[in-house]
Formats: sequence, structure tokens, C-alpha cells
Amino acid sequence: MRDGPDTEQHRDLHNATGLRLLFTSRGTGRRVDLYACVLQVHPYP
Amino acid sequence: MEYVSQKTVTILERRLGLMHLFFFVLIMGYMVGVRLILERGYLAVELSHGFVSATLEGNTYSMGGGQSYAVDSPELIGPQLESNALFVPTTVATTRGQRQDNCTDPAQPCNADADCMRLPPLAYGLCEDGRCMQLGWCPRENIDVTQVTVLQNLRDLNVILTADMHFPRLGSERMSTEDGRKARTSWSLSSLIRRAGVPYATAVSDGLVLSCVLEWACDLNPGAAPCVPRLRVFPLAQNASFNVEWATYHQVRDGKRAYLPPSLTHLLPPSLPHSLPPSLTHARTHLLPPSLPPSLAPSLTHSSLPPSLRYARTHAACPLTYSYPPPGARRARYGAAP
Repeated sequence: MRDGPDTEQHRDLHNATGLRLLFTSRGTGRRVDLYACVLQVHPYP
Repeated sequence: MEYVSQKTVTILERRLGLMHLFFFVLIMGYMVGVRLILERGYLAVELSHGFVSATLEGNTYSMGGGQSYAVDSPELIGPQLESNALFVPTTVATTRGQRQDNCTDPAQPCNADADCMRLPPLAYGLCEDGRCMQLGWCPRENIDVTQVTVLQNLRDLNVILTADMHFPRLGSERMSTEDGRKARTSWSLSSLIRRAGVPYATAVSDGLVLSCVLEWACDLNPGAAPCVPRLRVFPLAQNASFNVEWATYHQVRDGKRAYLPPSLTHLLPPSLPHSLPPSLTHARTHLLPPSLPPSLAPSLTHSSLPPSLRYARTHAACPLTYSYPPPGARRARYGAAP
């Protein structure tokens, strides 16, 4: 659509300050493992 | 005839025997006591990452210009769907009704015209009322025309987190805060600020970037208690403020806004007067090139173009033949030629 002669471009400018929250989910899982025991006592697994 | 004979010599030395026994016990003690028991070397360990979905719930209000506005999460959050992040604007400065024109810029103080840059068609080295005049969106942000609203009662807004975790190498099931385990999923915004150790007033006025980590420390052995995450919050950098600027474009035809859906107008706080303050209208505007005539405005709206094209398109439509200063003005300033 072509702008008419009595039409003006306007804008509303917003400047916002606020809280930027960045979320991550990270975890550590542990389980008894025979192979892990062997790794501890055997020099050349 | 040849033969090989092996001989074993046994040395009966008490100190050598004790030394052997000492090192044997030392090494066994380290392996069993330290590596296996103290450092839990009998456990297989896996580090993993999961996904987090965050939403905001609750109602509060913002204050600005002596008035209060009810605010809920759809009005606060933009964009609505962001991956692993939320932005909650706490202080919003709105300058309404800007249009392309020549006006003074508060960010460019000056004492004389020489202090202002000459960069046609953006600027022509004019100093007015202690500020440089420049082509741009007018009026500029300033205390006279910019409306500031501050969000109140952040403790009434809650962040709802949904997170998952998986340890594929250890063969665990996929865990989620939504699978019935007693995991906390809701925190108020004020509690997040408090956990980060940042003063509340500073966070609201200057903004803040917080890293919110849901930590899962899971015992995956049979019979262990269900794993629940714990929230830890860190400021990403000390004294690091955060702000975002954006603009909503519209057209004014016969004094009325066009192309703004009526369903959205109720979200806007009451407008400030759109007329320019007296300081922005001055006697030397005749020295400046005329504003973009509406008839030359292109058919596309500003919001449909990327920022670089908006700039290029606007100024490509400007007349190319004007000069500065106009001949009459040059004679008036430096004296007419004899």
C-alpha cells in the first residue's frame, strides 16, 4: 500500500533495563561399578 | 657338560624387612583408604547436561508518571519463546511518537557550531541550546518526553522451571522435574536476585544478567532416593547491567494511528502528549534541509525492512541537490561579497 500525502511514519522507542536470566541444567551421576574398582588397584587396566 | 644353577640368598635384616612392610602398607593404604574409600573410586561418574524451559507466572504492577499499570507475564516477556532464557524488563523508558526530523541530541553537548560534526545529510554542524542538531528520530530520549515505568513487587512474579537430565553411559532413565519427583520448580524473582547476592535496588534500576544453574547430583544405585535438582544463581559479571532497545512502528494518517490492531491498544499505557517541547523548535530550522516529504515515502513500512535498509531507503529518497548553508545564509554569516 502506498503512503498518502497526509501519512507520516512514526515509531515508539522502548529502552528496557531488566533481568536477563540464563538457565542451564547440569548433573553428575554416580553408580557403584566393579570396573571402576579395578581401575583403582590395577596399574595397567 | 654345562649346567645352570640358581642360588637364592636370604638376608635376615630386620630393618630391611620393616622398610618393605612399611611401603607395602603405605601403598595399600593409599589405594584402599584414599582412592577407593575417601575419593569413592568404586563409583563410576558421568557428567551430563539437560534442557530447561522457563516461564513466568504472576501479576504485579508498574509505576510511571504517578500512575500504576497492571502487568502480567504476557506483557512482560518478549519474545515469548526463548531457548533456556528469560528477559524481565524492570525499568522501561518509552519515547512515543518519534518521527524523522532534525532535532537536538542530548548526547552531543556543544558550545559552538564548531563543536558539532558536519556529516551531511545527518548533521550540518549546528549547535542549538547547547546541543548539536542532527537528523534522526525526534524527539530524542530525554526527561521531558520519555515516560519511565518501573516494575514493582518482583516477589509476586514467579519463574517456573521445567528441567530434565539423563546419564546414558550409566544407563539411567531420563529424569524430569515433571515426572512426579519432589523437585521444586517455582522461584520468585526477588529470591533469585537474593541468591545471586546482588542488591535488589541495583538489579531493578541497572539490570542484571544471572546464570541460573539447576544442579543434579544423582545417586544411581538401586534403592537410592529420587534425584532432585538444586538451584544455584550467579551474576554473570559484577556490575554488568543489561538493557534492550526496540521500536514499534506505525503510521499516522489524519492524526490517527494506522495499522495497529485495535486488540493491542489496550496494552499500551496512556500516551504522553505528542507535541514537541519548545526547546526543539527554534529559529534556525530554515537552514536545514527539508524533512522527508510524505509523498516520497516508499510503499513499504519501516518494520518490514532490516535496519540497514531502513536507513538507506530513507535517505535515498531525500533530495540530492540541496546545499549547506543556503547561499543567503552564507552571505548573512560571513558578509556579502562586494
